[in-house]
Amino acid sequence: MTHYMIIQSQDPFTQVRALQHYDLATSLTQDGNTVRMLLVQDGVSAAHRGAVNPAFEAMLKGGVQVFADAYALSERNIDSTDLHSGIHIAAMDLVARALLAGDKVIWH
Amino acid sequence: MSKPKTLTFAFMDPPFESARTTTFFRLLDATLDAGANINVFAYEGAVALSFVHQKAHGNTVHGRDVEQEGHPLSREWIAALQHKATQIGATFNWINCGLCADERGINEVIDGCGRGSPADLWKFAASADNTLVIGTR
Repeated sequence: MTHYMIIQSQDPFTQVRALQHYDLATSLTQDGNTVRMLLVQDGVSAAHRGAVNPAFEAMLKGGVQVFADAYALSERNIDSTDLHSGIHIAAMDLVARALLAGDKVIWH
Repeated sequence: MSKPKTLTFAFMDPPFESARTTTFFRLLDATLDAGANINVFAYEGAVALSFVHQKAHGNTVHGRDVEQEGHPLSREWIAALQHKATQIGATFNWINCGLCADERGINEVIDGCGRGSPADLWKFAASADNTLVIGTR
């Protein structure tokens, strides 16, 4: 089993490739890997509970652990109560620790 | 006491253009907070991050002078990370791709930033505990 950390900076509303990134995370999980995704920059817009995106929701339900960068949320005035259920707030130390633990880290 | 780990980063974004640059520097800061050593290979537009002649400016539209505007400069962020690394006893290596620097005429960089080639990225990656390549888009 491989541990993956995906840093997702793109949102699904302006960057169609974000959908592929969500699908990749879901597929890696289905293959028995541990996958975490940190939403950063515009990537956090999908975390808003008012945002509707089937691929993102499938990823959330598919076992991928999703985190949203506190800094990016703050920049966009998105509060913790505004998030989809199951999304945790984190910071860049999550990525540093994943790299130091030997996880495979991918920046999208 | 265990030996500190080392992380290598490859980065290609220029300063002043993308939120990615800010996120990258935040990651470097978090890496130092974790007590790890850092290697950076800056290529393409990222060679301008350490350009010594970056200059802050005011904002006449909002009526703010240079000091009030507090315009951030990436060369100062690098210097701050160099200082932080020294304070905690970590190493902070920064190599600019020489070919990329020549293309852009950016050869005057702040102290502590060197010049090299993709071979340095290979050496950095080979000696590091992990490597993250941050591509543009």
